[in-house]
Amino acid sequence: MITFPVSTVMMVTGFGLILIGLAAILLHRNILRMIIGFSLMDSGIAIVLVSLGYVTGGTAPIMDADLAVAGAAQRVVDPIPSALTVTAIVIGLSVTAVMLAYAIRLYRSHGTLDIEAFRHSRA
Amino acid sequence: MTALAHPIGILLFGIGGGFLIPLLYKIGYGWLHTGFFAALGGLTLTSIFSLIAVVQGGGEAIEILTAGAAPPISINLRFGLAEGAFSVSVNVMATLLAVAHWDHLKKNYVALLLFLILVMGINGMIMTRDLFNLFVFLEIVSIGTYGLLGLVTSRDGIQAAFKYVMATVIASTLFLLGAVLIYYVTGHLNIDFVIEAQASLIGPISGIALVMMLACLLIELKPFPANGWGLDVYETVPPALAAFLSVCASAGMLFAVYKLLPLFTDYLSLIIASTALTFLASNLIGLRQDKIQRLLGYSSVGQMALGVLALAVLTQIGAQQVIPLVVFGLFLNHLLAKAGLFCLVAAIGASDLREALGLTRRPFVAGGLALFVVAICALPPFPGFWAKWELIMQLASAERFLLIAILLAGSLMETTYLFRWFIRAVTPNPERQLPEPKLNILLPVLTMAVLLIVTGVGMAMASGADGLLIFLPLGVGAGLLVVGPLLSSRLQGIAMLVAVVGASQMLPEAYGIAGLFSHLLLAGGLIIASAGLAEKTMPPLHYPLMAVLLLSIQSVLRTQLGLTFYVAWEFITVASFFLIAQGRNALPETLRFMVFSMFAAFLIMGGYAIIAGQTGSRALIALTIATPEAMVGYALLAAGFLVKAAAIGVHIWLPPAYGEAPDNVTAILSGVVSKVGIFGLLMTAYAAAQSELNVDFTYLLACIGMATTVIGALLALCQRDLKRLLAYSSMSQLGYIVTAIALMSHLGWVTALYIVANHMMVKGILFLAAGAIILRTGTRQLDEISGLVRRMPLTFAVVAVALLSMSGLPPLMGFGGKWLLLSALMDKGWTVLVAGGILATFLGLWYMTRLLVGLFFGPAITQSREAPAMILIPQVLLVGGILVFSLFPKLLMGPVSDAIDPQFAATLVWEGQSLETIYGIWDPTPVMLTSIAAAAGLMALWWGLSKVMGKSVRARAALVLARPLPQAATPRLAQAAWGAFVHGIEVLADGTRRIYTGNGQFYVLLVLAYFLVLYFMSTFLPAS
Repeated sequence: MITFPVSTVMMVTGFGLILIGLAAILLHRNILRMIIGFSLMDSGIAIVLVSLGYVTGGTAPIMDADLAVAGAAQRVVDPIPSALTVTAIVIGLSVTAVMLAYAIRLYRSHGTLDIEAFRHSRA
Repeated sequence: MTALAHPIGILLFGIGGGFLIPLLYKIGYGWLHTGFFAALGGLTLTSIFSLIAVVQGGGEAIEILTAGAAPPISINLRFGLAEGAFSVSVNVMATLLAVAHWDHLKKNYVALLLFLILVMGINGMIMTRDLFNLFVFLEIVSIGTYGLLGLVTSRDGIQAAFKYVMATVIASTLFLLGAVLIYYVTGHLNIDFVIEAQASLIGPISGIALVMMLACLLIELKPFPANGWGLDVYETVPPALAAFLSVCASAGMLFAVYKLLPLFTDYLSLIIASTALTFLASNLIGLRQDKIQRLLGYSSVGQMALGVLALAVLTQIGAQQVIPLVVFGLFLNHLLAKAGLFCLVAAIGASDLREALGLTRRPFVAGGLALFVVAICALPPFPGFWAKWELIMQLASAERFLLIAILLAGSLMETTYLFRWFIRAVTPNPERQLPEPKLNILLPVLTMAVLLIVTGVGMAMASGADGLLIFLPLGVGAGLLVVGPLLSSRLQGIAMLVAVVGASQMLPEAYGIAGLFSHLLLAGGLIIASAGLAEKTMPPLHYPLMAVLLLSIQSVLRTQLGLTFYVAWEFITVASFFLIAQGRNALPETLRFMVFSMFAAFLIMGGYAIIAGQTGSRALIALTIATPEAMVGYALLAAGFLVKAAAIGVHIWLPPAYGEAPDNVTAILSGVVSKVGIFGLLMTAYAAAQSELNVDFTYLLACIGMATTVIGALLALCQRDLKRLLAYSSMSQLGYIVTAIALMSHLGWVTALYIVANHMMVKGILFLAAGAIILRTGTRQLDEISGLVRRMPLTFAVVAVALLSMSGLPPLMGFGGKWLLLSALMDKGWTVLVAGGILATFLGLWYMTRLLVGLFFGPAITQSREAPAMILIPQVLLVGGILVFSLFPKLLMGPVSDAIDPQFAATLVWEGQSLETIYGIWDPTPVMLTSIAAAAGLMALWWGLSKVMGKSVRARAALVLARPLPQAATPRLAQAAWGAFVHGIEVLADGTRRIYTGNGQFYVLLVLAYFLVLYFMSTFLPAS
């Protein structure tokens, strides 16, 4: 039986989520659904980022009595992508919040959430 | 002071101020507003002091290490010369725009907070040396922008902002993925370490990572066609905010591209292709855009693309040493002028470009608009010009001719739509109320204008152009503008004449042909311009512009450098434009003048660049050492000068411009300014003769010249409008000169200069007389004027002399010119052209008779009296000139011959005969006597006829009122052809802008597609 490292599974999942998100953004005309698409894309990216730093069989990157500094790089999961992911999640959260705020304002002023309705400026 | 000189203060002021804002809001508005400006001011001052510190430290960058560790453990920021220059520019502009945008900002403390954070984020993008940190600052800028856009109250604004959010979220997602993949491959996020580890950036993952980051930065700069979301925002948000996004936020992106460019060395061709397409497409679409803010959006997109294009192409051709001059110059120009234009939109309160605003009622606003439009069109002396000139020169050296063509075509379109807007804005419209300009908008605008002038002057001094030749015309013009309001109009005129005479004495001596031209055009220009003294009130800008015009002509004739020549040439163009625009009905006609003038200028620039690139020298003398490969360069130069000389086919700008300009301006344009183009053509022909060209296009040139003459005369014959008739007559006469130049022989050139002198005096007289007649009769239609001979006898006398001299009949100097020309043509064996010359002479005689008889003979149906003395005196002086040169041709021929002799090879001398021999053949005395007798006989015949017929009306009707040719005989071919061309461009533009459907989803698709296409294309690029 072929076994995949967990990072590969995560990577595939992450990219899958990104594609699902993009599909939602491009195929749904309701902007709430589009915003959900952006959210899915964010999650997918977070998963991809974490999986990029994964070292198969590695442990948590906490330097203590059990983990000697020498050679630690080969034995621990790279902490930097995880750190970046946290930042990316925070940014994704605020972007989603901003988009939802826009959705509310658009709905209040136009009475619809259809992206096709928001075409006042063009050409 | 020293504490302020540490750039970390920029971030502290931004974040600290941002966090303090909610607190200050609780305390009170006074605290809130003071706190906001204290933070913004502190941030700006910090960047200024830091930049000063860097400069004082010899340009060494200030490194900022965080967390007390060196990279790659810590994130580091850098503040060097480049960072400092961008940071200071952005911060100063942000402060100005905060003032201009104050009405919107002060409504909501959140807006103040966001603004501070946004400015801080842009500075962070500029300073950081870490990829992930760059992403964070990018997101800070983005989210700050989303917030500010969200506070826009208009429905359309919210719609546009949502599209903006979606597109930029996709872009920054690309950057995040790209940055992390780079880390995955190299193990670094620090930009310097990644660049060091560039060798390991091979393979598909690195490739896609780099393209992702590149795509993000390019998308943020709004590339065609993935930029509809950006344009919608430019169109719908308050103007000052649009300005902030267009200049400040884009600055961060531009700098990020600059910073990461070492990583993108394999992708330079892609960047160039995308930005060139964007520049061309956005300016093309701009031609069909009537919404002002969206138009400025297209212009912004084009300008930023141009900046990135310059960066990429200069890196690619290894001309990194000029990147600061070119890229920073372009950026600074865009920063100041575009922000100024957006602010003026706020001051005017107009949204439709087609609306006539009567903006001259607000001279300050109109002046600002003129200044910024001229600057954006990259005309001298503003920073954009020096940058674009250097860019074109570098491109020519690297033989990137396609890019030169794209740049110039795009610039021409940009000039077209911006001047179209300016012309509409100043078109009178008394019904349109203009809002009272607000001080908080005018002060920033004034500051931007001053900064634009200061930086332009600074770059001019650094450019290596002849300072005196450039600044003297401008200085005299500015001086007259300042003292103007203190003096009466006539005193201003006298001051102008004195100043021009005085200033021209300060200029270096001009030699040879240029020296002849300079004496001739200075004297002629002063005499004709003095006719302005007849008017009690001139438009306020008339005399300053006239001074710039007359002195710039002297500069063109004196310089040895291509750069100075071109700068002074553009001064002439711009000064002429504004002078013509002061005519009563001139405004609608000025656009064509401007576009054709810029077209000519760009041909000249392109041609010169090709020759300079080929010879490696920027001196004008280099034109004479070019080898046959530079043939295209000469052809372009000649074409450019021919456009200015209104050769057949490209003549359509001349009749409306000459026809509608104020009368004495027309006299200057026709008499003096047109000769500058002739001088250019003469110099080009001379240089081409000196260099080793193997293709001879002189016969073609001669044919163009003669066709211009014949058709010009034919069209003059069909005119009923006095000034248009004279305008076509000018075209016809210029054609003679072109033909004479094309002879490329000693005799031809003597002839050319001879006709130049003759035409200057003749047309000066005729246009001034026409002005006086229009002034006295109130009409310019030939069939409404007659019998002026008794009412305006002096005018009749001078016009008769001028016409006689122009017609080429003996005894006056026009005869000499024509005789010489036909002899030279025969000598060359160009018999067809001789026939053309004879036909043109016949047509010329006909329209001149029409003019003379129509105006002065027949019944006195119009009331009028003699022209004002101040219009007559210059004409009498010019008549004196004609008589002197007619009686003593050697006075002119001697210097002309001397001027040409040393410059021409012996083989070019006419049949080896010396000029003395030619003079020997041409003894004017017997011819003069004969012709005076003939003229007297003709006069007697006329009188006799009118006595016999009892009344002279019928003969007059046949001669003057009847149309000499059926309409079908003079089809407006050139008009139709250019009309079809313009229509084609418009159809293309309309087709192109159809992609802007307004659908946000489609815009997201375009953004994604842009990335995919970029990636797909990158796989075809050869790796370095």
